[in-house]
Amino acid sequence: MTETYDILPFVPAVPLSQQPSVLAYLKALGTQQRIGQLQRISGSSGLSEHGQQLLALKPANPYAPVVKLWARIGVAGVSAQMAICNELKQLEMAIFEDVRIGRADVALMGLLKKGWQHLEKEPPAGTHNDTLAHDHAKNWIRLDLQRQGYEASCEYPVPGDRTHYADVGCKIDGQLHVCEVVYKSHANVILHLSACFLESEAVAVVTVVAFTKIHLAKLRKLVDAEPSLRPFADRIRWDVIEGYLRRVYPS
Amino acid sequence: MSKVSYIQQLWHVINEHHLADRSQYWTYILMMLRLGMISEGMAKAILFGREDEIQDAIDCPSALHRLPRSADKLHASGHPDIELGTLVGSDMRFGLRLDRARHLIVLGKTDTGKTHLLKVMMVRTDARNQSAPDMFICCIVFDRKGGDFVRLARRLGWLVINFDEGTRVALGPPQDFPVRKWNHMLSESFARRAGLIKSESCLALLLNQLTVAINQGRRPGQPLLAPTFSQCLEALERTPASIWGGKEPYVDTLRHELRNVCQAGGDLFEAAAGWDLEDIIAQRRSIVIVMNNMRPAYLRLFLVDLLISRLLYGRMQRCDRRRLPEAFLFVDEGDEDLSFGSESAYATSLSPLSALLKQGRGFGLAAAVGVTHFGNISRFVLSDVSYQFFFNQADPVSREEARAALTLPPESHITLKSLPIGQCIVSEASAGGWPHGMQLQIDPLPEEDGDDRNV
Repeated sequence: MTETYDILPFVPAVPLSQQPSVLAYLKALGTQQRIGQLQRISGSSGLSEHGQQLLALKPANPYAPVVKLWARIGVAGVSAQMAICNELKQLEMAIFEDVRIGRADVALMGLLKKGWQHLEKEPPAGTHNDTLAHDHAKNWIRLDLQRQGYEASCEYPVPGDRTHYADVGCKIDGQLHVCEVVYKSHANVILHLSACFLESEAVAVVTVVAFTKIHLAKLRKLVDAEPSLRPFADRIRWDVIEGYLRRVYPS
Repeated sequence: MSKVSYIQQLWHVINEHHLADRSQYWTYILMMLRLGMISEGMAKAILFGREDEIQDAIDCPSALHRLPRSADKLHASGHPDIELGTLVGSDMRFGLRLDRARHLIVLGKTDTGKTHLLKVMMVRTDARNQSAPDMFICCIVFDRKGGDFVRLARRLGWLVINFDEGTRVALGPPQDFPVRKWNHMLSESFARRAGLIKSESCLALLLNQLTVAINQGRRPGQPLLAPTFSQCLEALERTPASIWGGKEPYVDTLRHELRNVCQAGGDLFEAAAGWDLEDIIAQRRSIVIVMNNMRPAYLRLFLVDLLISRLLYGRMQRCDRRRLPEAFLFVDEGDEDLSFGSESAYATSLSPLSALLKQGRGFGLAAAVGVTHFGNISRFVLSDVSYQFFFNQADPVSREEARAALTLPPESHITLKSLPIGQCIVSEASAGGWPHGMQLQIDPLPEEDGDDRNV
């Protein structure tokens, strides 16, 4: 005969059905799991912490290059940055664009409708039809002029035969100076200059701003070849956006 | 044609069959031959008088190195604390030193004397415990065949437990061991033995959540209650599968296996807390754990894993190092426990028994393992044993492996094949030990300690 070991008696196990507190715990586990499932289905969660942070920074820094936002969040790795960008793109909360400025690409970010909804904020008016690069560039110019003390604004109405809205306009010494940003197109520059000089007498100076010097040279050549604008050659300035960006967001 | 002289024949016989290595008598004869002190008549008398012995040497050649000249040479690093037998061809005694924990492995086919050797070791250890209680060594015997060690254990007053007769074991961690880490180790062991690789994380999560749930309201100082397999099964049946794992089939497989264990294992694991091998050691008792005919078959392996893990990993977690041996763990018929297949189940770690062989010595734990087929045993196991006892080997592969382990010449497989019952070749791998294999006659046991046969 063998003996049951009883010097340290065992504690018999109690079935779970006789332990209401354990059953309640398991039930709560199940409930938590169902809540998580519903959240995943409704799409109201699933955004990573860094994605949340990037999204939250954008409204307060609407025209900052993305590199400035990465520095604020503290995400340095390229692969991590790409993963967050992809996440926001897949969730249709933001768009990203790499823009050639000078000799380097600058990443820009814009919030989409779902992004604004996630942040429970209203998108600013008037930017819906503009491209990301063009919108950022004209606002960089505006911010630079404001930094210099001028009351500059975007979509400045230029009085004339028909009201033309310049990308950026401000009064300098009582005279109207406007800026026209040209991103990729060529033909529009003639139309813009014609509207400022031929259809209006209010504009003193127009500054054509391009993203690269090469593009600027092409635009200049185009304008120089336009006979109707030759009389206004001394009132047309030429510049690249890089300087504005560096002054508004110094590194 | 010249007739070969008896002296020349005597020379030839002694050198050809290494008779001088077999016994002191032939060593003296050889010495006298060299000194020219043996006449033709004497040589003839020796050849005819020792004809049987010479014929034995021809029939059962020994390729073993000669024995040490004296017991002092044999025991250069210390005399044995437990004697096991006498070296064949001399009166020198051989045994185990206990200045530190040392593992041993016993290899041989059925009915060659493996179990008998382990019994002799148990009896001698028990006798030493009686004479030197301050240096008590607990014997923990995993008896998987049933009956091999029970009668001996009863005579010696050891504890005998049989899981078929009501003894239960809890799944909880050893003292001071982090619960979550333990639950993951337990899940790994169960999943590996039951072949549930994909369900391992489900079981770990289940154990962790149930541990929290069962111990709600536990006050400091109160023992931790561990979940049981039946409670795990009940939890799986009461909750959606998605809580416990990524895919439903993994949870289904786990549920099926737990049902199997609960039905076949009975009340074996129905304890929220219970005894531990450390308790046995602390109380200076020896124990035989009868675990024959366990079903499902992997349950025996899991049970051995559980008991050894609690003992070994508990001491490792507490950094409870011991120089002197505190416990001998006997695993007879350990082929299944140490096979390549058993080891491969633990792909990224060691099985608990292998970990015991690898690391147990530093914690005062020594293993004595009996194995039948040498060829099936994981190789690294041999690198951590101090004593190897080779009985008659069953198959050519095992004989060849044994020959290589003993570094014997190629023709010595006959030596291994011709070992009589109760004799083995012993090799001591510890520093200072005699570096050559020696033929050993194991001591007999009193009839009341043996089984049906007393080898």
